[in-house]
Formats: sequence, structure tokens, C-alpha cells
Amino acid sequence: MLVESTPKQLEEALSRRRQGASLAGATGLTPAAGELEHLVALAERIERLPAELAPPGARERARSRFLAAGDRHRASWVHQHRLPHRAARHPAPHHPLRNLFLLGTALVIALVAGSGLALAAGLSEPDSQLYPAKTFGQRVVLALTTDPVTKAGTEVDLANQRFQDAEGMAAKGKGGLTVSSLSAYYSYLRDAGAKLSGRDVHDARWKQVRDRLIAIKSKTPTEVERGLTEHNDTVHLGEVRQLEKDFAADSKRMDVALGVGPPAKSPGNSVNSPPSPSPVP
Amino acid sequence: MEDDMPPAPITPQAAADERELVIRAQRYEPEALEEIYDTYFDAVYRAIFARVGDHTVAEAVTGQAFLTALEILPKYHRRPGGLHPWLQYLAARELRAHGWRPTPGRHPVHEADELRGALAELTPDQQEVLTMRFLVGMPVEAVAAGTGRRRGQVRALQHRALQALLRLMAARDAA
Repeated sequence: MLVESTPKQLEEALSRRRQGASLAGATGLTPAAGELEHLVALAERIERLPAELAPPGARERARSRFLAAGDRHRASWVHQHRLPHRAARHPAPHHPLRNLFLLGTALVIALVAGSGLALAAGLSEPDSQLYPAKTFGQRVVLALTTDPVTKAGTEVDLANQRFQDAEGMAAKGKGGLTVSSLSAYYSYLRDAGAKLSGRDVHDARWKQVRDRLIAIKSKTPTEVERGLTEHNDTVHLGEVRQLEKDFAADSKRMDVALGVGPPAKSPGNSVNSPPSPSPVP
Repeated sequence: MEDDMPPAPITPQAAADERELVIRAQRYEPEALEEIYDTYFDAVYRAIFARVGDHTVAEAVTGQAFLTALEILPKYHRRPGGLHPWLQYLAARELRAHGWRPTPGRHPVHEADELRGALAELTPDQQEVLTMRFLVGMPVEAVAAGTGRRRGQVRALQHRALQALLRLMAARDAA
């Protein structure tokens, strides 16, 4: 009974045999040497199987068939990989009004796109990406307005918008934006008050703007405070109350200066010394 | 038989040359196909002839193996052993598909016919490995690369194949 060898033993025996060892030397003294000798000898019998080259005619026939098939594959390959056919491009016939039409079309597209963007910016809130575009446009409008009364009227309108922005942001729990909107609201009110009190002519237009200013500045940030309270934002709530407190004193002086409050008791509260304007963010 | 083998592309330059050859052959450039045929046909033919001992069968099987190689060349990914093990593998598969068997009932003329008959009774995988290892003379690594097996699997398969062949030969001798 032969002891079975392992694949590794067989490979090592074959390797030693190729290096010139005798059959017995290649298989060694392992218990499986008997089987290994038979297996190595069998492998060598396979190696000795007569292997002949192809007769010249057969070789050439096979070669011709192979190369002919290669040509067919080549044709198919070229067909699959060729570049897509492109028709030659001829210039389009030129109409005299063609450029005018193209320009008009571009203008219409620009107007529509610009109007859409402006509308979207105009409706945006402080937490929107378009909000800076909105405030920039408003500052440009203010800068281009030269008449002080008209400018004050615009500032009153903007103050009203900032107040609504503050209420919206407080409802969303965005304390930082709430404070900045409310700060802008008070700034616009101060600026409008300063411009109106600096006017000597109190005509109907002046009175109309003043009445709107009085109405807008009489708003109290109750909703703002409630929104921040609901979101437990005590930090920004404190800032809002401080802004409100700061404006209260200016508001009284403004009333006197605009002729809607009791006369001033000190020179600093006279009609001719309105609250100082503050920068608008 | 190892002396008759085409040089294996083992050096970096040879490997790079063969990579370039394969890329051109995958575009079916005639010169590249001729180079492949002229380099490897004889080695593949001799291995098949050693298995069957018949020029007609060897010509048919080898020719068909090269035509199959043309078909699947675009999908060929270079393996460590290069083109040669791949072509030998295709030829061994083609021999199996050809259905060649020793003529039944014919008394072996000599030792080679008896061995070929026993080889033909092995499983296809065993026949492939023994052909590539001992008829073509490929190292285990090349056979592994050509047949998509690990080296340990090739060694184990080779061991089982020789053991089975030994039993078959003993049975034939007893008969």
C-alpha cells in the first residue's frame, strides 16, 4: 500500500528532478517516496509524448484562415469605432434684420430674467440668499433720492419693512437676524426724523410723511419679543429690549422736534436739535 | 519541451512590448495578428499534437483556438503569464469541445497511444493542467495565470490528475 504524497511534495520532487536529481534522489526518503516516484515518472512520460510541428501546408492553411478572419474583425472594428459622420456646415443665409432680431430676443430674455430676479429679491426675507441684493437695491434708491422729504418718506417705508422682517425672523427663532432687522428699523426712523425736523417748510407733503413716521414709530415690538420668548432666546431678547429702550428717548425728542409732543424743557430737546442720524446697515 | 517554448515575456521591456502588441491586436491590426500567430502557433500546435498524435485533429483544434482568440481578443486583459498561457488554455478548451477521443477498441500501437488514451479519460480541468504543465512545460505560475486559478489550486489539481492517471494506467495494464 503506497503512502499518499501531497501536492507540495510532488512539486518539490518535480523541481529537484528538473535540476538533475535522480528519480530516487528527487523523491527523497519520505514515506510517500514510492507514490512520488510513480507520479514523477508519469509526468516525465507525458513530457516525452512525441510532439511534432505542423506540416508546412497545414500551418499555412491555418495562417490564412486566421489572417482572413482578422481582416473581417478589423473591418467590423473600424466600423464600430469610426468617428460619427458630420455633415459639412454651411453658413446660414444672412437676413438684414437677423442681428436686430437676435438683439431684441436677448433683451427680452434679459428683461424677463432680470425682472424675475428682482421680484424674487424683493420678496426675499433676511434669511434668504437674495436678501443682500434687496437691501443693496434699496440703498441705491435712497442714494439717488435728493429731495429730503421724499427721502424721509422712503426711509419710513423701509423702516416699516425692517420691522416686518424682524417679526418674521423672531417667529422663526432667528435671533441674530431679528436684532439686525430691528436695529435697521430704528436707524431708518432716526434718519427720517432728522430729515423732517431739519425742514423749515411744513407743507402738506411734509405733514403726510411726518404722520406716517409717527404711525410707524409708534409700533411696539411685542410680536418680536413673543417670538424670541417662545424660542427661549433670552440673549437676543435682551438686545431687542435694549434697542427699544435706547430708541424711547430719541422718540420723545423726535416728537417735540416734529411738533407732535410737549415742548422741550431743555435746550438739547429743542425743535432745532433733532436726534442725530445713525448709519443704516 | 521547454526548449521549444517561445520566450516568456518576463522582463519589463518584454512585458511592455507584449502589452503594446495586445493593444494593436485588439484593434485587429494585421501586423500584430501575424506576430501573434508566428510566435505562438507552433508551441500550441505541438502541445495539441502531443495529446492526440494526429495532425488532422491538431490542425483543426489549433486553428479553431486561434479563431476563438480573435473573437474574444477585445475582452482580453493581460495576465502575468502573458498571451502564451492564454492561448494554450484556449486550445485545451477547444480540444475538449472538439470531442476527440482515442479510437475505441483499437489496441494501442505503442506506449504513447496508451498514455493519450488515459489522458483523454481525465476531467477537462485535469487535462488542461497536465497539458500546460508537462506538454507545454509551463511553470505553475503561468498555468495559474492562464487558467485563472491560484497557484495552490494548480498544484493540487496537478497532483490529483497524476494520481488519477496513475490509477487509469494501472487499470489498463491489468486489463
